[in-house]
Amino acid sequence: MGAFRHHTLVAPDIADRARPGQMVSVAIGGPASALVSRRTLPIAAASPSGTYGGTVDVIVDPGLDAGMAWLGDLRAHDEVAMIGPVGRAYPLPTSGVDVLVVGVGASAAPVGWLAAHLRDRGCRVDLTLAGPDDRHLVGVIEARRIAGSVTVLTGADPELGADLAARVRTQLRTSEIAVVYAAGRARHLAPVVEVARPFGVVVQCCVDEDMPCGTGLCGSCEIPVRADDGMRHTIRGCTEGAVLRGDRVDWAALAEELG
Amino acid sequence: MSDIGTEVEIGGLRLRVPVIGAAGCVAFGRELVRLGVQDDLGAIVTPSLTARTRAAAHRAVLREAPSGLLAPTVRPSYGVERLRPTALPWDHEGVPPVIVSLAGNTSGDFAEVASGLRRGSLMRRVAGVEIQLASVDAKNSHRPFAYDEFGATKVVARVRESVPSGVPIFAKLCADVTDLVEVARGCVKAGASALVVTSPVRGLLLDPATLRPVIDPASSGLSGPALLPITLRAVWDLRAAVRSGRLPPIPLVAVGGIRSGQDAAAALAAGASAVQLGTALLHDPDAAAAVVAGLVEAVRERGFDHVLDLIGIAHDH
Ligand SMILES: Cc1cc2nc3c(=O)[nH]c(=O)nc-3n(C[C@H](O)[C@H](O)[C@H](O)COP(=O)(O)O)c2cc1C
Ligand code: FES
Repeated sequence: MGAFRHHTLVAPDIADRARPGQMVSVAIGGPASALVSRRTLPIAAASPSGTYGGTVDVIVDPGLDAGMAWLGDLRAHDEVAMIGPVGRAYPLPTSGVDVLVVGVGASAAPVGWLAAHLRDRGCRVDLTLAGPDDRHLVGVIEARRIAGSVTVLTGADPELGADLAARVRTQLRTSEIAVVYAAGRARHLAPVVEVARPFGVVVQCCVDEDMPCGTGLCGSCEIPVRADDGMRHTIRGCTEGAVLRGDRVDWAALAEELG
Repeated sequence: MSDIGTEVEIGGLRLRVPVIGAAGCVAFGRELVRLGVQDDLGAIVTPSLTARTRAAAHRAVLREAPSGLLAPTVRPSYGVERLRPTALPWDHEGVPPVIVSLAGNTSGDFAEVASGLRRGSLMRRVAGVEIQLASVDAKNSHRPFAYDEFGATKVVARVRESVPSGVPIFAKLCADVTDLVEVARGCVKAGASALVVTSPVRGLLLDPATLRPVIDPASSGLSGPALLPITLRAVWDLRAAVRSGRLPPIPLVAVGGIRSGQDAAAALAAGASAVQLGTALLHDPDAAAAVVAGLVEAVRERGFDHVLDLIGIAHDH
C-alpha cells in the first residue's frame, strides 16, 4: 500500500473496547530504547474475535521519523508494548443521515472503519481521501466498497488543506450533509472547519498531532479550546481528544503553538 | 512483597518505596490510578504550580533527542488561585502522597504559591513541597535561581517561612552549575529538608531543515536516560561533600535518567535516599514496578535486607 505500512496487532483487551477515533499508544523499542517518547496512532480497525484473538490495525508512515521507521519495520510475531484504547471516539448519529468523511495521509487511518459504522447505521457516506501523492493515501480500494462515493485529492501543503476545504464546501452546498467527520493534522483540519462554519454543520475532528506519552501524564499534547462559556482553556489531546468538535478548537492558537 | 525492607524517611516524610513520580511526568496522579500503577510509587510530585495560571505562550512540545527528550522549561502552569480545598486536582482515591512543586520568577512568587497552599485545609493533603529552582529569576537577568547560592537561598528561605514546619521542603537543583555544593549548602541553611538533583540540563536541538532551534534555547532542558551519569555525578558530589563536612547532613533524591532497578540501585549507592522517575514513566507507565523489583533484587544480591543498606555504599573503599 504505497509508502505506508499496515500492521495487525493482537491485543484482545484493546480490540474489545476500541471504537473509531480512538488510538493506541505504542512504546518504541524495548526498555533500553534510545527513543523515549511513545507514538500514539489512530486505530484503523478492530476485530474483537480474529483467528488469534482480538486484533487492532494501525497504519504507520515510516518516513515520518526514526520511531515510525522502527514501527514500520516490525515483522510478524514481533512484540510491542501498547496501551489503549486511548481517547474519545467519534460520536455517531442516532439515525441515518448524510455524512461527509474526510481524511488526510496516514491520519486517515480510522476513516474506512468509521465509514463502515456510519453505513451500518443507515447513513449515506461520501468519502474524501487526501494526501501529498498517490503513495500517501490510506485504503482507497476498501473505501470504494464502503462509501457511496469516494473522491481522491492529492497535492502539496499548504494547498492541500485549501483544496480539501474547497471540496467540502462544494459538498455542503450541493447535498444535505448533517455532519462532517475529519481525520488529519491540525493544518488540514482547520480549513475544513472554517468552510463548514457558515453552513452550521459540525465537523468532528480527530486531531492527529504528536502525543509523546498517550497516557495523559506529560501534558505535551494540549489543545486550546473554547468552552460553552466562551472561556479559553486547554485539554489534553490524548485522553480528552483526539476527537473534538471543530468549532470548539482554537485553531489559530493551535497552529501558532505547533509552530 | 518480599523480605526486603523498602520504606525510607525523607525529612519526616515516610515513603513505602523509595521511588517517586517526578514533577510534570505524572500529572496530578489520576492517570496513574486509571492505569493501575499508583501503588508502585511512594509519592508523586505535581507539575509546578505558579501564583497565577500561566497560559501556554507555546505548547510544551517535546522533541526527541538521542536517549532523551528536549522540552521547554517554561511551560503552561496551574495557578494556585485555582485550587479549591474541596476539589483539588490530586483529590482522587488511590493517589499516592503528594509533594506539590512550586515555581515562580521572584522569591515573592514562590512565597505566594506557598501561602496559597495554606488557605483552607489544603495543607492537610500536602505531604511535602518541592521548589523548582530551575525557574528563572526575573530580578537577576533571568538566570535560574539554582545557578548560585544567593538565588537558591532566598527562595528556599521564603518558602520555609510560608510553609508549616512539619511539611518537608525538597529543593530541586540543577546539576549544570559551577559549584553545586555551594548552592546546596545555601539551601540547607535556608531550611531545606532534602535536596533533589537534577532538573533538566540545558540543551539545544536544531531543526535539520532550517538549522534553527526547535525550542527556545534560553529555556530548553534535556531529560531522559542521557542524564543518568550527570545525575549520579551530582548525587556523588553532594554525598562526598557531606562526608567531608563541606555540607551538613541532608537526604538526597536522585532524578534524571533513571529507568531501571539497576539505575536506582546506583543512585542509592551514590548517596540518594530515593529516586524520582520522569521520562521513564512516559516511555512506560509500568516502569515503577520494575524499578522497585530491580532495586529489591539489588539489595538481596548483596546480602542486605533493606534498601537503606545501599545508601552511599559507592563511597566505601
Ligand atoms: C514533560 C515534562 C514535564 C516536566 N515538568 C516539570 C515541572 O513542572 N516541574 C519540574 O520541576 N520539573 C519538570 N520536569 C523535569 C522532571 O521532573 C525531571 O527533573 C527531568 O525530566 C529529569 O528526570 P527524567 O530523566 O527521569 O525525566 C518535566 C519533565 C518533562 C519531561
Ligand atoms: S501525550 Fe502526554 S499527556 Fe497527552
